[in-house]
Amino acid sequence: MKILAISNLYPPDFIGGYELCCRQVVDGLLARGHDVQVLTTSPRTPCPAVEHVARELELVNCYDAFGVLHNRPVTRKLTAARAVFVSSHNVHVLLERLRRFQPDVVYLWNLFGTGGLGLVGCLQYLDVPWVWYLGDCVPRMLCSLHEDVLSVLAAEFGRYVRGHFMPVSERVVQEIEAAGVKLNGEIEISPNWVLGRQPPPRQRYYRRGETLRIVSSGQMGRHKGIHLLVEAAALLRARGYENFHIDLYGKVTDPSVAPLPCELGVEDLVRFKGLCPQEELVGRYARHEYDLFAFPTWKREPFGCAPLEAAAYGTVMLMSESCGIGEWFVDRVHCLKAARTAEAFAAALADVLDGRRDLKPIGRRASTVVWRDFRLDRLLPDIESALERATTRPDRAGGSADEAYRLALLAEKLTQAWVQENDCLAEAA
Amino acid sequence: MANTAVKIAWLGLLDSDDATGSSRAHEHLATLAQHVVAASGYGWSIELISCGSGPERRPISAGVARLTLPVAGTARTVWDRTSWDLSRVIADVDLVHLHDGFSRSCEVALLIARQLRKPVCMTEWGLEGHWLASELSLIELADVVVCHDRAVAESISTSKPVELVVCETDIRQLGVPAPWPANHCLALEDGLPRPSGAKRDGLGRPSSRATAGVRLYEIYHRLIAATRRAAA
Repeated sequence: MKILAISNLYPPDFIGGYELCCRQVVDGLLARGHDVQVLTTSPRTPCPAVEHVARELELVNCYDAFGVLHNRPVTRKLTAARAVFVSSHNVHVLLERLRRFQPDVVYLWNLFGTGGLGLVGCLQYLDVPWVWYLGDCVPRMLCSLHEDVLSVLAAEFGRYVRGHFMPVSERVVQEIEAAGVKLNGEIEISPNWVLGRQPPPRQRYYRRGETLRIVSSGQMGRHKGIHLLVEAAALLRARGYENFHIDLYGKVTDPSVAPLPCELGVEDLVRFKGLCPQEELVGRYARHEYDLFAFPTWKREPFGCAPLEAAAYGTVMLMSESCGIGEWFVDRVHCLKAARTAEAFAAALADVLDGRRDLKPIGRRASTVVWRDFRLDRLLPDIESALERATTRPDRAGGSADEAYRLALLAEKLTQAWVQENDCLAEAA
Repeated sequence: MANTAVKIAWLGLLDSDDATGSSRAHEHLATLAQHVVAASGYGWSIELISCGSGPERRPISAGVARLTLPVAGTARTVWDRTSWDLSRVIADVDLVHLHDGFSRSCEVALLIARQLRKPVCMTEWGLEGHWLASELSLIELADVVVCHDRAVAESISTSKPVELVVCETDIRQLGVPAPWPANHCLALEDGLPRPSGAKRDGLGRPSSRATAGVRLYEIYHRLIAATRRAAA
């Protein structure tokens, strides 16, 4: 199959697991003999050229700190609108890529920042088959300006967009549809994955009296609950526990969390370790450098690849009781779940430190399940099948590329006019 | 297809009535629509759509109604008005006819109709004068371009089929917007030549509109049949 994957970012330029998963599945499809090209945005910092990756789209980065600080409100609104609704430049780039590559199917990933609604509209107009991997509630984002869903766009999405969706959890579908954005077509929930070969069963697990080695990774921000982990550490210390430490890997995206360990007097127990390449982090799990992966993430976490990678090597997951990955694992069977509070996480950690909770059976069961059901090579045939099914839908006479581009130009100009003229977008919410 | 229920949306021109304080555009469209519906054997219906203080639906005659949709936000001029309800309304019709190239509601309707693969007719009025329509050559998004004047039909530049539907109507009398953001029409002596046959009230002989209605019916009939064949 000729597959064109479209992603807002592509490693080594990435923010979270969405883009890393994109690269992994593209590499997997290439290894299985498919002709895959990636269309993504120009990188935010220089990165090496790769044959099958075209970094030709423009990233409309409405969250860049400089713009947020310096731009006038109307400029910020215009940028936000262009990030989600339509960028005629990006539609043109897509049309050129489609013309040159002639893919059998387009594999959509995160389209935020690309004027994604315009890209999807273009594919619909041309009747190009697509499969959309939903690692987050991207259709909802594309129908929103900042946080406000525009009901008219949500209705139009439901009326016009039809294809094959592969969300990573049920909550992703619920969150999209709760906002009034109906997903029409095939919906096939499919989890995220791990790479590599199943290791021999882990022998060493934490025992009472040892130092409990806790890890977390991802974006270091409050939405991921990093502040709760620091507060939990302070609570444990206040209750006399000293035999633990927490290593935090990832970029600090929220400056307010960085000083917390010092402020709460746990800087010797909680350490920000900075960004760590995914392979290196997996290596640490494989060497059993950690006993427990703490994941006090927010309720709307679509999945969460980081704890899955840790669980593959017997590092027990302690996660918020309500999050995407939690749909796939049972509390006290494959993982530990806690309410999303510092108190609840401290209590769960105290149970482990006191030996009331044995990590070994949980870690072993989780590792077995991850290598059985969450391996990319196990999931790739399902992905291939979805891509193939998309290509075999009945033919319709699609519109022309010229018309699609002209419509994108019209939509872009109308959007600009609306945003600048008044607050009618807010009114439509 | 004459007996099959067909719904058609007409947009454009009506905003100018608010600028001129007259009802000439409404009268022009309502009369023309009545002739189209009559040509269909009264099996078809046409809604004349504008944006204002709606929602309001007012029957005009058998098969013809005036639909006013609520305006979204605050428009700078009467021609900048549009409505969030347009997408819902257009999704429900078989064909869209845009009667001018200078109003926002026509631009939005064009975008929606093309995405939904509805057949679109565009009357040439304003398509070559208004900045957005001419800058983007929106005429190229029409399935059929309708010209009410022979001289224009013979000279208009487009790759799309052009249909002459003689109507003897003077667009200046209906109201051509002055350059944006003026909220008034061009003076009658400005700009456009008066089409052959147009009377002082701008509406031409009644018989010309009857003939135009039949001609439009034929064009619509052909377009809708082709769209249905393609969908099947």
